[in-house]
Amino acid sequence: MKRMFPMILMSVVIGMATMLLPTSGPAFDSISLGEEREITVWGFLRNSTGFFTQNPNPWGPTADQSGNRLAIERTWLRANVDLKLSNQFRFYGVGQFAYEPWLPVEQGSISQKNGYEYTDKNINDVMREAYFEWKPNKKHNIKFGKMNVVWGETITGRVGDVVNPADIRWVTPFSLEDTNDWRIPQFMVRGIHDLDSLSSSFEWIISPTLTSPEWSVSQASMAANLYLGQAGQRFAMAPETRFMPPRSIGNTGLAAFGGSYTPYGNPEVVAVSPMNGTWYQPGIGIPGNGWTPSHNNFEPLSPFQNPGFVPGPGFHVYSEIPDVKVKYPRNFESTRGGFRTSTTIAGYTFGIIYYHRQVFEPVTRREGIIRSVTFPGPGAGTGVPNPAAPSAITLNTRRYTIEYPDIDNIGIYMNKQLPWPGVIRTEVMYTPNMPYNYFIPLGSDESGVVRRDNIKYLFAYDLSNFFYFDWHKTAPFDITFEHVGEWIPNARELQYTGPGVYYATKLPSWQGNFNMQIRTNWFYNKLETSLTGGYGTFGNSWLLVPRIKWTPGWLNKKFSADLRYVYVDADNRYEGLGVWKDKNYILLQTQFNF
Amino acid sequence: MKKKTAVLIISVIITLILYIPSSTMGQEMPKPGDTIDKGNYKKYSHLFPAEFLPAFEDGFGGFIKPLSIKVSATKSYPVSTVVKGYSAKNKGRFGLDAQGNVTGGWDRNGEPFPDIDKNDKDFATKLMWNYDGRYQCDDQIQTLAYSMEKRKGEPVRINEAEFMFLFFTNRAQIAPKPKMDSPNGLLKAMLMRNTAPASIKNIMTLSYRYIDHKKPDDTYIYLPTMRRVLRGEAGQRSTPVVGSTQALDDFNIHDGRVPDFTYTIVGEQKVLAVVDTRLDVNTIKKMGTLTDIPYPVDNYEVRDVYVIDIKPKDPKYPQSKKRIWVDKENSFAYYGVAWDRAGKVWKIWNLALINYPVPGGGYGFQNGNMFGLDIQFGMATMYATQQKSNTGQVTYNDVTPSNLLKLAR
Repeated sequence: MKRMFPMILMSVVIGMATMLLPTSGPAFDSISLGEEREITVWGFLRNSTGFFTQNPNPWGPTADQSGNRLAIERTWLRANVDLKLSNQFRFYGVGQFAYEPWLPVEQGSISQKNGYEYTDKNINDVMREAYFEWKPNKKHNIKFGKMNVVWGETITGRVGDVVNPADIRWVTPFSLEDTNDWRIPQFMVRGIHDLDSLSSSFEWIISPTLTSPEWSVSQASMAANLYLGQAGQRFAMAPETRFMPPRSIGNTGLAAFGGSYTPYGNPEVVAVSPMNGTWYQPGIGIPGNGWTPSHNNFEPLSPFQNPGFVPGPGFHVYSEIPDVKVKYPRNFESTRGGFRTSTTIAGYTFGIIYYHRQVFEPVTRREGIIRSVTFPGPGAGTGVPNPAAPSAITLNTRRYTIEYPDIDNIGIYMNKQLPWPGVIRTEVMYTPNMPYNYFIPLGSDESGVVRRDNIKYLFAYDLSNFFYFDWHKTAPFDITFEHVGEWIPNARELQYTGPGVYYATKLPSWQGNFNMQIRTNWFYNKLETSLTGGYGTFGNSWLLVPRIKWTPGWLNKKFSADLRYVYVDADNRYEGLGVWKDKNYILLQTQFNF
Repeated sequence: MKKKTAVLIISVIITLILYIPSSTMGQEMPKPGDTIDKGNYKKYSHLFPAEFLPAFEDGFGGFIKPLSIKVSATKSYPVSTVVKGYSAKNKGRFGLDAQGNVTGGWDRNGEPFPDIDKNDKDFATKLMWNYDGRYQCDDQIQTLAYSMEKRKGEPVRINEAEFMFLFFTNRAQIAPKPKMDSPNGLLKAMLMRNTAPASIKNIMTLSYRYIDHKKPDDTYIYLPTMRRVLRGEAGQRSTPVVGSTQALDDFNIHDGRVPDFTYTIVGEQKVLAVVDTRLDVNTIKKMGTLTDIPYPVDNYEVRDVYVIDIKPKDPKYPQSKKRIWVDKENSFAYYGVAWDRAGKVWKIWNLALINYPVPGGGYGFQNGNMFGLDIQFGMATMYATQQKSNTGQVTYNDVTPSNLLKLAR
């Protein structure tokens, strides 16, 4: 409660301050600054309060974690400034501040270190967007500065939306947060030019990586680090707790032990991640998959540093020490850029997209041994009851580089109002030589990084303004269906990884998501309701998000309350949407617009 | 003397009988300067759709102040002489196909059936094509549009928007005339940009209608929360726009695609309507905090109208019927009443026009303000603007999907 007090206090103070804002009118009026100049300010104060409905972090160090944990308690102030300097020049800026206390649910995670993992980042990112716009005439428009650009036709995924990295630390995308809120703005010069004779426009972007490096790529919550016995952050993907496939980028080589522990270990069973996989678990003699997911079982350098420790079937053996470096995109050498065309002919809107960038989610490159340390072996009297053990053992330190290689996205898109009810939207994005991690052979010195072609596509159908019923005639029931697929023609041995997590799961050659939303509003937008559902073939995973938003009559629609429930289920925690399994939560979002 | 008196009286009576129009026999007509309010509106009830009479009693149950209107002299506002010229060229050239489409290659300039005959079996449909071809303007900029809404027992809320209209045919004032070429064969385009409240600020809607009346409309929507332009569903135009009871088909009382409906002439009558409204955004701003929906009260003129019933061909259309009162002189509708699919009266609208003389003679007309009421649900809305027509400042580049990105914030 003491920890919550500053947050509550700040919320109250900010809330009271906003009550001083004019509430009878529709908004702040633009302020004229002279002949052509004027400034307009608007924004919101938003509070998001969410509760998990079950234990979201079963890998945490506290065995008593349970459901009903506070998932989100974020107070978020954002202000937009639109400054018209002349008919040709404008400035637009977005400033924000978010406050969120450390929450008990993250006890044991890196958030505990400073208590303000989320808020600190946002303070650094106070100036979210800031760009100038030059409009020499109606046909040409150039913006330069820090901004968000969202391309593409897909709503429930990212196919053509390749320009800005995403920030999914706060909430999972399934909570239907505004796309704009979870994009990380980037510095760029962006031009849009009309080509009247072709009924087209041409848009280009040049974007050197001038943001701080870690903000030039996607941000995600840290998964549990089983090696360190560290709990994951609240919305992190699940950590791997299996040791099933025979090979992995985290394969640190059972060879380090030679044949010493062969009686105990299964050489086909190795770790999947250099970060949480430097120890292995024989899959015999233990219920389940043979591993108890608790840091308490971890004994550093056991049995070598713990005389008396008796290993048996199921013990953990330290094999190789990872030394991890992160290589972020930087400056002009990592300049991104590309173009998009848009043509409207005969009711069709279509175009092509090309964008050169770095991947936003990293791959981990396995590099060479950089250090070796020799420990006295059990034969030196450590008490390990292994008569076959050598008298000494050498442990290696291996370099791993987390990197964001360059890629090129080449895509086409199209949308069309059909002659019969409905709109179709479609797009295809081809990425040649997309970097992946793959399962390397045991004892190999391979990098674990391979490039394969990747194709993502969307087919969507929107049926709006069609289903009217006499019992609800002020608004229709609108339906949107999206199928988002991903095809990797050669997916052999590719390893499924997420931001900061590695799974002993092979990527399928094809995976498809089938998402659908039905929505309507009641009493002329006083209540808005929607039900979103999705099914993913990868992991047989699915989600359900019922939502209701209330905009009361007072304060001229400045206030709204939005309640939603996010439910995800899957066959397991290591495939598709299942990586967020058991993180179901209820979210109440209240917002005051000014 | 007695004989002379009797002859005189009989003559006067005969003269009166001959001169009083049959439609107003026994019906009292107001004089310029008269006020019509709760105390006397029943005398003039024949000059309003019956659904509007509660406005005088209690302001439709409290949505507006009990109505008290002032009557002014009826004036003639002939349509633009230039457009009349366009229409004259169309005489006898076009017909209708079985679906109600105009045949013969109408270029969408002027009215397609200027020589319309009441005995024509397709009179109502042809009249609506003329309604569709009426002159509005070459372009228009609404620098501020208020859409006020009030639910029963709640305060008035205000949504603000900016509008841009561009007509590609039937242009009478600004070169190129009568047609501005567009790559897509556009008839007209409308760009709406919401400016307040902040929750809808910078949501933009671009709507296209094509010269080829067999082509469905197209709509593009920019959502700042998604930072992109989405293709909207424009095939059905019956969903109320945000902050209003009006759907796109209800703009200007009726703005549906002609072939999508069937039409019946119900009759002809006189109504009191406003062709020169004084109720614009500036006037409303001066009213201060609004407790009721503003309603036009000045410059009501007696106008001759056709009463037309409009039925959708689509059985799923939420309205089973709409009745509109269309001015015989300028082809604009003043009143509208809609019934739901169960046959109950659902919504009503009243349009007050702005008129402006145009070069070459005649007048142009625009929507000055429009009142709407959902009788069943209990929500009233009023749309009023601050506008300028025929500016010459709206070009094709202003009404393209790429311009939504340029305007995006």
